[in-house]
Amino acid sequence: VKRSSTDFIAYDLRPAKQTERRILLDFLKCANECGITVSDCRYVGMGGTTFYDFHLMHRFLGINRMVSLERNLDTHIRSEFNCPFNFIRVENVTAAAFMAGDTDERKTIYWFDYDDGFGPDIIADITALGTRLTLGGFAFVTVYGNPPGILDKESNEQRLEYFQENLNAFSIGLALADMETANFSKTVHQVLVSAFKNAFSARTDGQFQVLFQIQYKDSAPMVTVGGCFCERGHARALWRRVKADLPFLLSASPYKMRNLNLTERERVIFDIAVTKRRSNSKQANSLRKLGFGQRDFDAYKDLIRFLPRYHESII
Amino acid sequence: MPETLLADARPEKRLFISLITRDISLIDAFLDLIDNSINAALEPLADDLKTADDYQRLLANSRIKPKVEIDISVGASRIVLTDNAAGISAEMAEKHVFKFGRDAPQGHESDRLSVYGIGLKRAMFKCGNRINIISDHKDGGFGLEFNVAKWAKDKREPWTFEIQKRSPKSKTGTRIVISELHDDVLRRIDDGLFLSQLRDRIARTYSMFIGRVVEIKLKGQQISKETFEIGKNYASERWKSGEVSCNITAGIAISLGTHFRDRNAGWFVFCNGRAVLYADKSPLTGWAGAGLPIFQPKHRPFLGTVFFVSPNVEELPWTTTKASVNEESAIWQEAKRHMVKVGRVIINFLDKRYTEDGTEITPSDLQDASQGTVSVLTAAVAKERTFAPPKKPPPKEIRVQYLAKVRDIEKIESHLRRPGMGGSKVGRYTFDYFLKNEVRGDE
Repeated sequence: VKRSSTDFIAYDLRPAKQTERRILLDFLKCANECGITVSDCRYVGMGGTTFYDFHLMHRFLGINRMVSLERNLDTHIRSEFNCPFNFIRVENVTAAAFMAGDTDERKTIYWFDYDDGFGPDIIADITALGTRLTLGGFAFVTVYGNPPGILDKESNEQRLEYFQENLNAFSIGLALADMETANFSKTVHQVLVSAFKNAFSARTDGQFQVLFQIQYKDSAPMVTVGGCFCERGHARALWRRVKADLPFLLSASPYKMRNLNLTERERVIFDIAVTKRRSNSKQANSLRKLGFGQRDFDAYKDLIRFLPRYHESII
Repeated sequence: MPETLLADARPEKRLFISLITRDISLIDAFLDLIDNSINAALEPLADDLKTADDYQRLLANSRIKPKVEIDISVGASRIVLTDNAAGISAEMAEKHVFKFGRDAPQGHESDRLSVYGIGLKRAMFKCGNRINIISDHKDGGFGLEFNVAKWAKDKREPWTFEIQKRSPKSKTGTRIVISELHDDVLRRIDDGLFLSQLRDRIARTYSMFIGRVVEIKLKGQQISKETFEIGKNYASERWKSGEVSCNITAGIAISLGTHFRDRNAGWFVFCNGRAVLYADKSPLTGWAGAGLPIFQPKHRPFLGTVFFVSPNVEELPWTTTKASVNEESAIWQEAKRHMVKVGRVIINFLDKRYTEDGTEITPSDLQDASQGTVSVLTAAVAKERTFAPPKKPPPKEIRVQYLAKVRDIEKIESHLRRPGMGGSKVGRYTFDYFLKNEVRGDE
């Protein structure tokens, strides 16, 4: 069974994950500027023991009604111990059980960051989101991008059979090549998008747009898919806003976050190089001499506002 | 003498449209449109497609290459189906194509998939409000610009569609454009599953024709037929009723590794080469008390096909949506009896997979029983044969189980001075004792 990166990398030191959190925050800000008020939303996430996303949601968006779901009893105890704000309710339940018993009708931002293998339960949770989400709400799902642990050692045929048996209609069209570990993130993304579209297809009170699609890797590949459920007018405005502010999110395939792994000095030069009009500036040329290529420049330009900086604070 | 009045019993167009579109799924409506194109593509071959043997020849002849391409595009604003078949002549369009239902004698001898004269109109009405058709034919085709809502309000009788004649063309074919799609249709098309489900159904429904008679593209992507295989050791029977001939085959599906897929288990029913039922495990095909047992996981290797062929398409037991069979049809009732007979042999063999005493059939036994592989369609139209369950040598061991009183067991344990020996060991000891002293002592 693959180990989750949380088991062996300090949560604070996952730059790709932190970059994704910041992009998601920016996405929510885009929505806010289109008239979809975010600060009065409730946030339902999976805060674990660090509550990073909860910190960001409160500090940058002013959200102060939050629920953290923790299905593991041992972690739940630590979760409650580490809970940073009094307005966070930590519940020892699965996402499915929470949604089944939740009666709160207010607008909610759901981020189910499973850190878990892809399977039928996740599809069922997305289906449930299709009935739970109210107008002006958001839903994001993050899933492990390699085959789940139970299929890790299985052949492609056995993996395909497992999904055909367990995903029913969502497995139609999947082929053996989609089961290859190298292609699996793409398959997960494809099924998640279908699941979201399907979950909201019967809703006539609004439109769910899958506008947030990111693939990243700190130690394990992860895939996040999500978007906003809103009125058609808001949906158009949000699409335009995302196109202007986060254009890299709008391609048909998920945005593949590049791991840049830069030194502080290189970052300073990158900051100048990618914000200059000329592509062959002194700074850009000096980075080229260090071996950086066009893809690094493009990636840095996309992520310039979101890349975290880490400093040693306790010696 | 009381006066006789003629009460108005004319159908309302609005009700009529609602009735004919309500019972068909969107996918089946798309298949109706494709049926029309394949029917036209089959026209030049129709004389050679009257029996199951004819279909087998078509399958076996790898020199036959598809001459007709069907291209389907599905977007948020319109659905477009284009084919390069023979097209529809203005005369056919004027007299037959837009008539709801057809007079018995007007049925074309060359029709193989066109049955009730309702499919095209129903599919159009199901999808959207605005329909444009251009069909080019060697004798002169036609064009249609049609607004369903306007037509529904038009009270004039008899019902007609205004079509425009087109001059004869050497390059033939038909293009159907449906726009102003209904809200339900738009929602279904964008539900994240529709396109893959449609692709899957096309691949399964037309597996007999794809690659031989037609090529089908959906949103620019060519669809490959879904082929699945059956073991060469299968049972089959053929029978004929009127102009309908029927071949029934049942055998063991070819597994994926050691697993058998549920989607390939059960009965598949074809009418003139077009699949109308897939992997059916319901009472409709004889399961659950209608001759065969309730389908259980141990029956997953079961794969059966029923292949009906008739030049007279109305005799075939398909429903008007071609998504199932007409259960009451005498042909189907007859077929069901044969299906139970043929299927039972395979089921009896598979029932031994998991019995109360464990399994008598291992995955390798199943492989052996298959005796090689053959395409399920080839088997579906092949000559009669019987399934030969593999003969296994009689078992060398047999399980002996019986109940004994605890007190008696304890007495034996005490007699043997081995307290806590346990029922199983006491049984073994007493059996060996009897064998040694009573049986072998006699030899």
